[in-house]
Amino acid sequence: MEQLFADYLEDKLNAKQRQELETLLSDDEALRDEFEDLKAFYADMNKPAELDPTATLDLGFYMMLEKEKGAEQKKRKKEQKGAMRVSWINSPILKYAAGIVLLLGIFWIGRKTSDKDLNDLSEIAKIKNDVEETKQLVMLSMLKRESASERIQAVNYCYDINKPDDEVLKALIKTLNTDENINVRTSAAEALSHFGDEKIARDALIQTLLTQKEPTLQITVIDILANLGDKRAVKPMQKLLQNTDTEEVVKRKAMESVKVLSL
Amino acid sequence: MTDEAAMQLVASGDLDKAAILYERYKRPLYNFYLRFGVERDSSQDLTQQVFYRIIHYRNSFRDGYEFRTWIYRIARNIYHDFLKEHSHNHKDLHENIEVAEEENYDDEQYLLIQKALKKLPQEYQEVLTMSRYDELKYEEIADILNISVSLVKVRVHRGLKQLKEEYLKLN
Repeated sequence: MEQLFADYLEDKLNAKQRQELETLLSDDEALRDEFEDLKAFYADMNKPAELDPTATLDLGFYMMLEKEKGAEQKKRKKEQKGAMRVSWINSPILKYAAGIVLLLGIFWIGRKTSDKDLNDLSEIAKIKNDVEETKQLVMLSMLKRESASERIQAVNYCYDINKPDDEVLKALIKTLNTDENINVRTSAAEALSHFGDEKIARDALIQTLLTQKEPTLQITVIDILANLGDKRAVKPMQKLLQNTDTEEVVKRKAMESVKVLSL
Repeated sequence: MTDEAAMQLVASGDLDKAAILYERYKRPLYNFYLRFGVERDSSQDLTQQVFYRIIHYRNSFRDGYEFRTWIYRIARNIYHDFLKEHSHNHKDLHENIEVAEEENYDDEQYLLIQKALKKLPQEYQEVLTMSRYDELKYEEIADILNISVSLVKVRVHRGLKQLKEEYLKLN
């Protein structure tokens, strides 16, 4: 009876069970009275109007989320650096690059010992430059790989490049705007923020804000632009705020950043 | 996007998806605590703790879990921790709870039923509140409380009988 009653309240009785309940009730008047009483009492247990939490809860949650995201990003970068070290050793291109560096090193030592008048500093700078160029070449080559994780690795090589040439920046911008994988595009956005001093990088981040549709990437770009403090980002952020397709969480982030940039 | 899909993405590191779940569940969970008689500020704190735990322990969410059941189980555990922290005896909180409820709701009938509900053993309070006010199915309640569905149904029936008796006494 208890099970039947509970199922009756949730309107889950099938025809057979309903019949069974009706038979039980028709055979026992006291039981029928109790059933009717409890049914009426249950119906009177109205759900009260729900109350809304205050903005403090939102604030606490979004601050906690940002903190967790920061911790997650640090963890990922550490993992990627670890993976990068391994692949740097294993990659044929990089073995080739290491070979070039080694040869240049031997050449430099040879020159240094045979010609005392050599300008040491300029030679070191030249080697450094060669290594930098090699890294850039490797990165450009890896950006064309099919595997998304390799393309992310390629993007992350940027952090080892001090002064990227236009070709590298353009490749990063192309990746940001056209790569099919959201994680690769996000990595490209973060890498471009690393070169935030370059106008071409900032321009690309501002322009991409209105073309990216994925909320997580929109939020990443909004964060980057707010951190870079480029006031030109206010307009596209306002457009996002007016766009009915923009998700609430993105609008909230855009609103915060517009405030920050308008200070 | 389903709750489960969003949570799977959170578990795989896409933490922004937690905002979707937060926006869906912040109000029900806040009211879940209010209905247990927790005052407003503490209800917000407890709601915040639920989301902290789902993010912090995101990797424990497995394929096949039902998100709603999972989050309510966490919410219930946090409520029990709260009770333990504030009093070793559930009944010691009654006075504060009654004051909080009167501040939160102005429906006299509801307040009277809540008063009667607090006189029941906790296992009856829980199933009746979850079933009637949180609109959870018996299967979900069974999952949250880690008991059989049959036992949930028994508790609903017995709890309701006892609740009516307490209610009539108060009236």
